[in-house]
Amino acid sequence: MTLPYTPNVPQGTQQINQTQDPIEVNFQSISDFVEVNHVGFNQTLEGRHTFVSYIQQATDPSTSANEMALYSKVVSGDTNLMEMFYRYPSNGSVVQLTGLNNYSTGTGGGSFAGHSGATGSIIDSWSNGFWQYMSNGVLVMVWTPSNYFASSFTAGSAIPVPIPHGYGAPTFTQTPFNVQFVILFGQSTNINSGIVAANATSTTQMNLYSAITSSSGQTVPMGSFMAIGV
Amino acid sequence: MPVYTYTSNTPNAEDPMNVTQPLILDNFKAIPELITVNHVGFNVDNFGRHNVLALQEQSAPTTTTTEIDLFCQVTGSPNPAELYIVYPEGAATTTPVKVSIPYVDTATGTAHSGYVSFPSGIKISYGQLSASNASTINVSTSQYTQQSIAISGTATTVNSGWPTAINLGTGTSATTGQWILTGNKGSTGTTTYNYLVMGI
Repeated sequence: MTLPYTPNVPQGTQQINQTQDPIEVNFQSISDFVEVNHVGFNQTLEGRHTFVSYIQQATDPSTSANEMALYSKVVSGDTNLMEMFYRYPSNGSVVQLTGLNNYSTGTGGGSFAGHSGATGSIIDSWSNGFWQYMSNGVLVMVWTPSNYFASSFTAGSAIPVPIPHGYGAPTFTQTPFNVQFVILFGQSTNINSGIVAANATSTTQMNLYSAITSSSGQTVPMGSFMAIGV
Repeated sequence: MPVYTYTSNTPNAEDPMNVTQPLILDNFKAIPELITVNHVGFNVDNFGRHNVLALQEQSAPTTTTTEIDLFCQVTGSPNPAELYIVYPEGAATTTPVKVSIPYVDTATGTAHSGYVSFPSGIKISYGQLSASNASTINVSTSQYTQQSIAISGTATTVNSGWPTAINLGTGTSATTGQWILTGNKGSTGTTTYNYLVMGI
C-alpha cells in the first residue's frame, strides 16, 4: 500500500499547519497511484500505460451503449486459473478472448493426436490434427486419419468419417457448416475411388461419397479433412 | 513533454504560502493533464474510463495470483511489436502468450500469399503456386516450427493434361517447408494451384 489519501482536506475550519501534511501526502499518493500501470508525472509519455493488470472480477462488468470492457475472471477447470474476456456495448455478449475451452493451453487453439479404435466406419480414427477458435466462436479444425480400411464402397453411398471430438480435440456444438477433403500425396493410385462429395451429418460425423463402386483392391485414399463450424 | 510540472513533495511545513501556491496550482493542472492521456478526464460523463489503451514496449511483467497482465513487447517481425498477456502466478502457462494476431501477406498480382498466427501458436497459411505434375515444390511454410497439414490444393485453371486431382501432401519437413505436389494420370504442363495449410 502507498501513503494514505485524504479526500476531505483542506477544510475551511482548518489551520494551514494542520493541512500542510495531508496535502503533501495526497500529492505523493496521487503520484504513487498514477505510476501503477502508467508512465508517471513529468515524463515525456506521462499518462500512457506501461502494462495493464486486470484484477480478477467476480462478475461480468456492465457496459454502457458506447463502450466495451476488457477484463479477467476465473474459468472453472482452467489450468491457467483465469482468462481474458470482453463484453460488447449495452451489457451485450460476453466473449472469452483467451483459453476458449478445457482443451486449451490458454490460447483457444491447439493440436491433437492419436485416437483409434472407433468402429462402424471405413475410416475409424484420427491420427493428428489442429484446431483454432476465432474470437467470434467459429472453430476451424483440420486432421488426417491414421487408418483407412481397404474396404469396398458403393457409388453414391455414404462413407462415414468421424469428426474428431475428445482426445485433445474440442467438439463442435452444431453440425459443422463446411467440410472439405483433399487427397494426400502418395495416394494417387487410389484416386479412382472417385471421391466427389463430402458433407457433415452431425457434430461428430461427416460422410464422403464416391462416384463409383469400388473394385478389387481399391481403397478410400488417405487425405486431409477440414471442418468449419461452431 | 507535459506542460505542467508535478511536485509531489509540496507543501513543506517550512514553506510560506507564496512559495507553495504556484506549486500546488501547477499540481492541480498537472493532474488532469496526465489523467486525460488515454482516459476520460475530470468533470465529464464517464470520467476515469479509458478512451484508448496505449502500451509502451517492455519486457514481461510479473503477475500476482489474482491478475492477468496485458503488455506490449518488441518482436521485430512481421510487426514491430505484439500484444501479450501473462497469466497469474501459479498458472500452467508460464511464458507470455501473444494475443494479437500478426498477419503476413505478400501480394503478387492477384496471387496473394501469406499466413495468420493465432495466440495458440496455430498458423493458417495460404497462397498460390505453379508446378508440373509430380514435381517437388517449396510452399512457404517456413513459419511452421512443428508440423502442418495441407487442407486444400485446388487448381485455378484447366490446362492441357490437367490432373483429375491434386495432392498437396503432408510436409516432409515443416522446418524446411518442402511439400510435394502430384497430379494424376500423367498430366503435363504447368498448373497453378491454390493451397491452404494449417499447423504449428
